[in-house]
Amino acid sequence: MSFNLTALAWRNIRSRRARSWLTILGILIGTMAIVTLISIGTGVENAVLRQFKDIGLDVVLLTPREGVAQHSSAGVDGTSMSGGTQEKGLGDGSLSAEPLGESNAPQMPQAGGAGLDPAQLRRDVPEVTQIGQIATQVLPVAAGELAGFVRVMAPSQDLTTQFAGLLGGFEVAQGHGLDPANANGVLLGAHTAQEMGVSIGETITIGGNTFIVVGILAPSRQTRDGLGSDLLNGQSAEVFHALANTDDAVFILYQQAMALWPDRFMSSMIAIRIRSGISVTDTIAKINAAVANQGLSMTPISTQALADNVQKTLGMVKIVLASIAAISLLVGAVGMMNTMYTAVLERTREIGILKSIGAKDRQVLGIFLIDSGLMGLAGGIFGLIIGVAASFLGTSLLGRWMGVTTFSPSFPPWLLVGVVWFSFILGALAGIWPAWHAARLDPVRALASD
Amino acid sequence: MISLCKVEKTYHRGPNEVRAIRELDLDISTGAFTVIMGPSGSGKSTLLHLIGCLDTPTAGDIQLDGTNLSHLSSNERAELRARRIGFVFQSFNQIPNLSAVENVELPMLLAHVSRAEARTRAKAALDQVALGERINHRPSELSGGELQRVAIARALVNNPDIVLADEPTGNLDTETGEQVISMLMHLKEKGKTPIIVTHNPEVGAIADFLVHMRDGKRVEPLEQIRQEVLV
Repeated sequence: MSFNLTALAWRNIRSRRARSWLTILGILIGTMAIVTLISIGTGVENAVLRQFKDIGLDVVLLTPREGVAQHSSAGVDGTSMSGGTQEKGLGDGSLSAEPLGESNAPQMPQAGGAGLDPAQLRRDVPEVTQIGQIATQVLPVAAGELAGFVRVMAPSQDLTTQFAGLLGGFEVAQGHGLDPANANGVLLGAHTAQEMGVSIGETITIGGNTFIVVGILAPSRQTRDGLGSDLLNGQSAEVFHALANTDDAVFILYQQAMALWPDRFMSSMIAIRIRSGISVTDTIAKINAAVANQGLSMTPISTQALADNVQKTLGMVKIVLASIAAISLLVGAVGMMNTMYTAVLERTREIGILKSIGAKDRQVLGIFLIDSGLMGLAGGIFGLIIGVAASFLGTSLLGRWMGVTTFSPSFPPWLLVGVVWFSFILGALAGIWPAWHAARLDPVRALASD
Repeated sequence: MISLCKVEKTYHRGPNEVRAIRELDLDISTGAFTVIMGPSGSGKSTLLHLIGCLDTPTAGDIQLDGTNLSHLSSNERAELRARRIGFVFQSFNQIPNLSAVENVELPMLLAHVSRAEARTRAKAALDQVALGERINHRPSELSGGELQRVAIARALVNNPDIVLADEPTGNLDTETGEQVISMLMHLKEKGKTPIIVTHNPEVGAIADFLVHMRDGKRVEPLEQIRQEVLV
């Protein structure tokens, strides 16, 4: 029975091809917009959450309190290093052929005190299981004839192994990582290594001290799918961004930096992993007190809280985008209502014919409802297909624009099923009033119409 | 047997009342080739619509084999139209976007017949009206006579007891009109009751039962002629 009505409705759609396609187009555009915006939004959300998961959601980060002296704002000779300004001819005094790698990454604020004593913190706060810290400074670096100021990052070995996510993955592409047994080892960021043109085993000087290149890092994951820190605000964003962008830096061990330049290097960030199942809020309070006791002025924040903030922000953005897309779908539905009502007016005589040959009111209602529902369904299916293609194109363009290559759209099953189902329902709803109007037509009057 | 007892049909056109049928009593026997004649506005088509359950009387009763049609719901009347009544109209009333065979299938699809069976029966019905070669043609590709034959095929495809034709030859040339009337007349041999509204006195002359209508009432043929002379 309903199959027969579907066949009749399908014949109607087929017989008004151009108008049916234009009506379907209205729903298609709305569906496509919803699929594209939500899949890209979900893709961004997933990429961000992946970054936080890389770091771990059981981590508390300590960053320098705002207003604390920014030691890194001046270079060793007093030249401003902000924005990666560099000088030639440092080191051996000879003129360099080319400028050395630029340090474009944002400079980090630093804590106004000595480094953290991890052992003491562990004693004070037993819930702490792992501690890693990092200090940074801009120093003159020379490699052969090339010389310039480069951002020197000094992570503790624990930070590079247990909190690698904070350092853009810290994947060693060549050679090996930092090792306390080889205190004068240096790791080069991917871009810096390329600019310097040095190989593993060669030496470079940092602030006049000779270091042996022990490894070269892979490009930072931050520059590949780094979206998370862009969504944070204020100081957290600066620190995240600066730490994760490892391409334009060189790395030496924290202990070595502190030994060579005790007055220049100070902690930029301390990462603390706490035991699972422990209240983060309570532990943060204890860490805060313990850090203050060591004379450090730092602000604690949990990665979970940061991830929640980002997720909340993205959730709002997604709702706004989906709402805009839903409006276009609604406009499509109004267009469909118009098409269906026009069809009823145009087909009044046909409705009369149908009734004269035995069509019941509910059958006429069904034919028109199925007609509009099928058009909604077609709009939903085509909108979904084109929306998926547009999402991939959109993320590709967005990724290129943002310099990110591993970011992809995400298609939750509820979106794929829901959008098609919703289009069908919306189409049928749009047809209710015209169909009801058609069903109530008096057969004699309908037959008499032109 | 179709029985009308004191049937009234009044239309309201704004402030005006139009009494299309006035206290009409009529009995039509099963299998009788019935012709309804009368001038325009005499209530012929209204009478056909009432017998065909397309409309309901304002007063009075219409009985079909003992069933009072006046008391049926809209759905029950539709059901009756689908199963027991076939319509043939002056203007053919084909659905323009459907082919001949699809038009003939329609009453069966609405009567819950499967699509495969509907297609088989529709083809057979078109064969019977000598349109077996034109089944996939759309109404715009068929002549008036062919269209009316499609309409007859559609009217008969659900095997109804009664076939109602409202001026079926009005848009046809004489020869084609005669063919159509012949087809309708021969339905009585299959046990059906053809009821035809027409202006054509030649059709009236071959009727088993002739009904003359004037001003919504049935009049005797002589009275009809007298009134026409007076006019």
